[in-house]
Amino acid sequence: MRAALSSEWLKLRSVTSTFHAIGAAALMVALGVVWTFYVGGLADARGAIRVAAPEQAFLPLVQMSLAVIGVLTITSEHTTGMIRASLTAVPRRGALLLAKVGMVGAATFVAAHAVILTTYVVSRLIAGDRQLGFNEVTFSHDLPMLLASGLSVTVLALVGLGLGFVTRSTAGAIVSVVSLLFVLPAAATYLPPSWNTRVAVFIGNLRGDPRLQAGRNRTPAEQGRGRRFAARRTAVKPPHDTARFGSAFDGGDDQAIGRTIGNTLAAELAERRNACGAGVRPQRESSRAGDRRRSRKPNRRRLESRFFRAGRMSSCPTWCNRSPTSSCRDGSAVSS
Amino acid sequence: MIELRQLTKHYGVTLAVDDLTFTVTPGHVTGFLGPNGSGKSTAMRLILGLDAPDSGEALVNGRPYTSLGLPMRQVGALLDANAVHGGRSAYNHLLCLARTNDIGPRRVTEVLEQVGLAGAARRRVGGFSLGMKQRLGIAAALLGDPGVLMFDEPVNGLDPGGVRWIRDLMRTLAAEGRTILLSSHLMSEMALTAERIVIVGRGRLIADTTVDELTASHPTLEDAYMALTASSVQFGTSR
Repeated sequence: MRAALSSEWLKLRSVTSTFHAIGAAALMVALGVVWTFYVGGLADARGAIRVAAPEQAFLPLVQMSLAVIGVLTITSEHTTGMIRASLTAVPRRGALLLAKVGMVGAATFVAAHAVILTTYVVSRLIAGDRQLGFNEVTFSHDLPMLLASGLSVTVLALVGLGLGFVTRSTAGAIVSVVSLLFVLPAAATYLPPSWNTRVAVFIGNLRGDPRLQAGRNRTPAEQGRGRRFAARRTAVKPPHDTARFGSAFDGGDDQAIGRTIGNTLAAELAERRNACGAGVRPQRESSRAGDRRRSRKPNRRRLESRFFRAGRMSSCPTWCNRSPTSSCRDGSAVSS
Repeated sequence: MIELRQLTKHYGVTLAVDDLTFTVTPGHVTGFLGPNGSGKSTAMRLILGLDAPDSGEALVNGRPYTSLGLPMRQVGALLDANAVHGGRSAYNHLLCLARTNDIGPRRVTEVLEQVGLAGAARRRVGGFSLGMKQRLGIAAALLGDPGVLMFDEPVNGLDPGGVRWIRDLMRTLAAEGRTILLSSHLMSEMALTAERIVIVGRGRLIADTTVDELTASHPTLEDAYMALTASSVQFGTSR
C-alpha cells in the first residue's frame, strides 16, 4: 500500500494539470486581496459595514478547482489508457483506488487549507482595524469554520474522484461536480416540501455552506455579540444607508458567519418556499382538485388545510421564521 | 511460463476468445499470430487480469496474474504503446510504475539506457514518436527484470534500426531463459525472431507448432499463415 501511495504521489505531482488546478484555487488569495481592499475602501468612506469574509465568499472557486484534481486523478488514466499499465502494476483494483483516494484526500486537504488560511491571514492584515464584520472575531472563533471549509474542499475532491471512477470521463465527471455544486441546489427547491429542505441541507453540507450552520450552532454569547454589533452599526450609520447596504451585503443583525456573494443558498430558498402562507401555493393540489370538481372554483382555504394536514402541520413552527400569518403558527386556525 | 486452459471470454454477443488452450514455454520466442479481431489482445488482457474470463483460466508461473505479489517482477507486458499520459516525462512515467513494485530509480535509468531513451528521459512523452513510445513501453515491461514477457505489436512504428534492435532484444531475452510471447502481423519479421508459433482465428486455436514445421509444409511462414487463417479472416461475417 505504501508503494502504491508513493506511486500515486508521483503521478499527482508529475503532471502540470495538478499545478494548474492548485493555481486556480490560489486565485482565492488574489481575489481576497481585491475584495478586502474594496470593502475596506467602502468602510473608510462610510463607517462600519458588514460583508462576507473572502475565504467564505470565494470558497466555491477552491472547491471547483481542487475537485478537478480528484476527477483528473482517475479520468486521465482512463482517457490515455494508462489505467491498463497501472492495473498491471497493481492488479488489486481496490488497492489502486484506495491509494488514489488517500493521495487526493491528503493533497487537496493540504492545498485547500494553505489557500484558505493564506486568504484569511492576508485579508485580516489588509482589513486592519476597520469594521468589516468578518474581521471582528478572534482566530480561535473562526478556526472551526476554516477547518470545515478546507474539509469540504477535500470531500468535494473525493466526490470528483468517485464520479470520475464511475463515469470514466473527464467532461462527464466535471459536469457532474458542477451540477452537484450549482445546479442541484437550485433544482432541489422544487422538490416537494420536507424533501426540498432535506436535499438542500445535504447538498449544503457537502458544499460546506456556512449559512446552514449559521442559525443553528450559535451560542448565546455570539447572539449577544451580533445584537451589540447591530446596535453599534445603526448608531454609526444613518438609517437609509443601512437599508442600502442591507440589500448589497448582508444587512441583518444575524451573526451569519459568511453570507456569501453569489452563493445561492438552496436551503434558505426551500425554507422560504415552505414558509407558511408565503410563496407556497399548492399549485398541483389545486389543479388536481380542479380536475375533480370542474364546475367549482377551488376553495383556497380548504386546499391549504389539506396541504398542511398532509405533512406541514408538525414541521411548520420549526421552520417558520416569519411573523405568524393567517395560516402559519396556528395550524388549527387553518384546518377549521 | 504462461498457461491458458479452456479460456473463454464473451463481450456481449461477441465471442472474443473461445476455449483457448495453449502453453508458452521459456527459452524461446513464441510468436502469437492471427487476423485482426481474432482475440490476441483479449487473450493477453485475460492473462494480465485486466478482464475476467467467463470460464477457464490463465496462469502465469502457475498462478493467476492478480494473485501475484509484485507482478512486475514476474511479468512484463507491452499492450499499447500509446497508453501513456502525454504530460509526464519518460522518466517519471517509468518511476510511477516502478514505485508500485518497489523498484528503485536506478533501475529506471538502467532500462531507459537499455532501450535507447536515456537522452529523452526528461522529455514529455506527448512529444514522442510512435517508435519512441514503443521503446518506452518495452522499457516499462523490462522494469522488474521479469521472467515472463508479453509484447503486443512492438515493432509498429519502429525504424529499420529499431526493428532489428527488437529482434535482437527478443532473442537475447529468450536466450536468458525467459518466456516471450510476441504478437505481430509482420510475417517476415516473425520468421526471423520466433521459434514457436501460436495462431488463433475467431478466438479459437488454429495452430500451436514451430516455425520449422510451418515452413516445411509451405514455402514461407506467410504462405503457411494465409493457408491456415483463410477460413477465419473475414470479420463481421456471420459465423
